[in-house]
Amino acid sequence: MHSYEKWYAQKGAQGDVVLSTRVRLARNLADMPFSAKLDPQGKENVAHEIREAAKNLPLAQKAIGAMRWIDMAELPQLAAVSMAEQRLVSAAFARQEPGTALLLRDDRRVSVMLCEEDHLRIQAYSPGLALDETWAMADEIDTALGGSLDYAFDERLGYLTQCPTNLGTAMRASVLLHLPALETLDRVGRLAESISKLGLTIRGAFGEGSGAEGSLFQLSNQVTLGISERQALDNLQAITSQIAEQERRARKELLQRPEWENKVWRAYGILRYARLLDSGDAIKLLSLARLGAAGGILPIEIETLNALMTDIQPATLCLAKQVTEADQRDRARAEMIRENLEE
Amino acid sequence: MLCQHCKQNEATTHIRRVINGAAQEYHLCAACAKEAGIAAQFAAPEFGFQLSDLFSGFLGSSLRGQSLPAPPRCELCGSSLDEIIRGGRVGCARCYETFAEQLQPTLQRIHGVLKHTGKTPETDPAVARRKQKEQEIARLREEIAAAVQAEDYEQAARLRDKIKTLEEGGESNA
Repeated sequence: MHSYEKWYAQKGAQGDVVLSTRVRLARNLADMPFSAKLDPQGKENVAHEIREAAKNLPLAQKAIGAMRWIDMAELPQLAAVSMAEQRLVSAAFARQEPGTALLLRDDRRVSVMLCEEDHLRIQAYSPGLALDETWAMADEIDTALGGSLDYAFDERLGYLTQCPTNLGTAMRASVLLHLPALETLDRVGRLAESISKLGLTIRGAFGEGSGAEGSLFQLSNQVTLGISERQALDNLQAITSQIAEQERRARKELLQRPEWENKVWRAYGILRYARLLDSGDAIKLLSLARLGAAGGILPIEIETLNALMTDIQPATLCLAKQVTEADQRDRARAEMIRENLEE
Repeated sequence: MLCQHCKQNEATTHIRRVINGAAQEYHLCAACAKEAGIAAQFAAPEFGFQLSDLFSGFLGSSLRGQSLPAPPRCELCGSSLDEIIRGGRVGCARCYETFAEQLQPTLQRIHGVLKHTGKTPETDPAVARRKQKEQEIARLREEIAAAVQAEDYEQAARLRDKIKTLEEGGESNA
């Protein structure tokens, strides 16, 4: 399989810094208890109602017809975890609670989680910075489904959600940013402070606590009530562009230092020849290689690195390489990276 | 920065919590943080407090001294206000109506102004069409009842056909 066929490998607008864009909408049915109050049968009923509704509407059929229906409980565990690694579903959803289901478009750029925290979590994804396009994709599905479903909505509070923090637009728009230079120069913390004053929030995209694995950060809107989707998206767009510009300047500064030029080449060397790589090591090295590739130092395409950053995650790797034993993973991972970086 | 909760003291406790990709920040003074149960959570051997705890802490504190009796249970999902407070999760859409007065101060504290300005199902053309159709069908049903009452069965049959056309997805030319 050519890695470029995956949307998350593609290099979109501002792709040197912005890996991808996601827009997520939370929706609930008006006359059903929220997910936490539903037993597996109740969840199935909700999923059934949504499925039937989707069938009965021409607009929904057009938008949703091309989507696959996946009963989460029937999915092999590796496949479910791999979906979380590809950010198609949340980590909680990958636990395959009975009664939960997923609608997934064939190109994997739209997914709808049924009976996650909310009855519907509509998610759309694009490579690079593409908030308008991604919003339009999520909005289309939402409008199509809303045409035949009775959404829980209140004029004052907006879309009603299980967690009161999501009320209003119930929209989270986010961008996945690669910020190795700002992180190295210790500027992300300060950035986070000023960003929170603007109604946005930034956090490490992977890894626990404050650590950001692979210098990948997620920037998203925090305010959902009293602000329109348009305003939130414009705000996020403007701040993302500013951060990307800061990162570019910081990268220039960093890569002029001989020790950093060396670091980047060393990472390339290890990636090309290592025989065993654990996922923590691999993501660090790939992050450095991405810094070098974007800076025009290393002869690698960004697309290859984008794909690898996701594909070397444990479950996705095991599926691709048909590995079952954990102790074979590091070997398979090093092999996958070598194959992709061959000149 | 002033404490978000009491809006009087300087905020000294800053909490950032990410749940399902959604991050929330709270800036509280020492007293309010204690009230929300945060100090105790930090002292716990495992650092793992939930946003819901914070939400329930807020809710619990804003309800203290409140004399308004809450309705005992939501008619749709059966949640009591106590369960919502403890779980930090609202049971269903109806709960927002049932416990509107009790929830309002907390929602205000989370969001500031409670005024939705984004997309609404009503502005969705698809929803508007569906609602229009439903209203049309309801109106025709009333007319049928009136026609039957007046023993005008021909008219009733015509109206019934119209409803059928509408329900099958066609446009009414009425």
